[in-house]
Amino acid sequence: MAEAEALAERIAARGPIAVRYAKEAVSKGLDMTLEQALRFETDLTIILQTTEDRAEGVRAFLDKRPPEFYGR
Amino acid sequence: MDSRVLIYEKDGGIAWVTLNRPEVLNALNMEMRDELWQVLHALQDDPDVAVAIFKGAGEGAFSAGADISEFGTAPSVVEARRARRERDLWGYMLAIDKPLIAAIHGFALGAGVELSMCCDLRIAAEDARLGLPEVSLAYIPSAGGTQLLPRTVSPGLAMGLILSGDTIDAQEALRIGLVQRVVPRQRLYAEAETLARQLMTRGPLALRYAKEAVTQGLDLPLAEGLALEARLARLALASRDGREGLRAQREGRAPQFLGV
Repeated sequence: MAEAEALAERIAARGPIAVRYAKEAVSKGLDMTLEQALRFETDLTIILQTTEDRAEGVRAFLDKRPPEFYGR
Repeated sequence: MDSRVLIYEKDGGIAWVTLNRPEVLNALNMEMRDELWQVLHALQDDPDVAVAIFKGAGEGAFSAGADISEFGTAPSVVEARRARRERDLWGYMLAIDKPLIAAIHGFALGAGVELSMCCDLRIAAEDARLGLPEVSLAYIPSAGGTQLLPRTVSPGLAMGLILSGDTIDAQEALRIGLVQRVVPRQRLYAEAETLARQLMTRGPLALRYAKEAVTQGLDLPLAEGLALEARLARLALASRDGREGLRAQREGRAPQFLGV
């Protein structure tokens, strides 16, 4: 229970849109050919490049501070 | 000290590719990806190269991943997508028909571990730490990680690693099948070379067909995959090397393969 909660908290601290897209990439990608799946992954990463959270993630990493994600 | 960001050396049929930006844990920047594109073509096209081994320079890392200081430098997302489609680096690496080995030490994170998953075999030093931490930056793996990890380890384990961004050590990577072998740090390159030399005693044509059967087969319904395997097996058997393999076995001697 404590372990499950700790895992949930780690995932909750990640970028929420990125976590949703990662889940989609893994689960939908398995039904595709690898070539199609790699294109799908690329397209999702390109969409994520437009999010505020991703810019914040990169900024926070370079500033060596924890990021603040808002799901935007 | 070699100043190139990627070092390509050939030694008796083995191509050694060294990621060489040790001061930034071999972070993959654009220059390195440009050179990787060239090197991948060189080793694919060079008949003297039988096997390639990828490794990272310095003590700290195989590669800590994409160079984050270059993030956000593309003029636009449209441009970024066009660039990715024009030059499909990871797709090209996955299509190389020679065996590729990753010799991993220290950090192999993000694009670093993804590059290793574009290889066929992964050997890790005891100090290796592997992971896909992208979601910590509100991003997802973009060098094939979301697709290659579920096809390398079980989908459930892959999902857990990708959603948590957790890093695992060499023993855990061995346990889940992400790496095939764990060796002491000082033995890493000797072991990788031994493995490469072992592969070189096999028929090169058979290795190519075997790699094709496994990688293409994963994209096919079972019946079509089995038909592909049967077709490639017939071709291998009818080849000069195939006949030599049978003859050598009958005569109780080591076979001489020519790759035809």
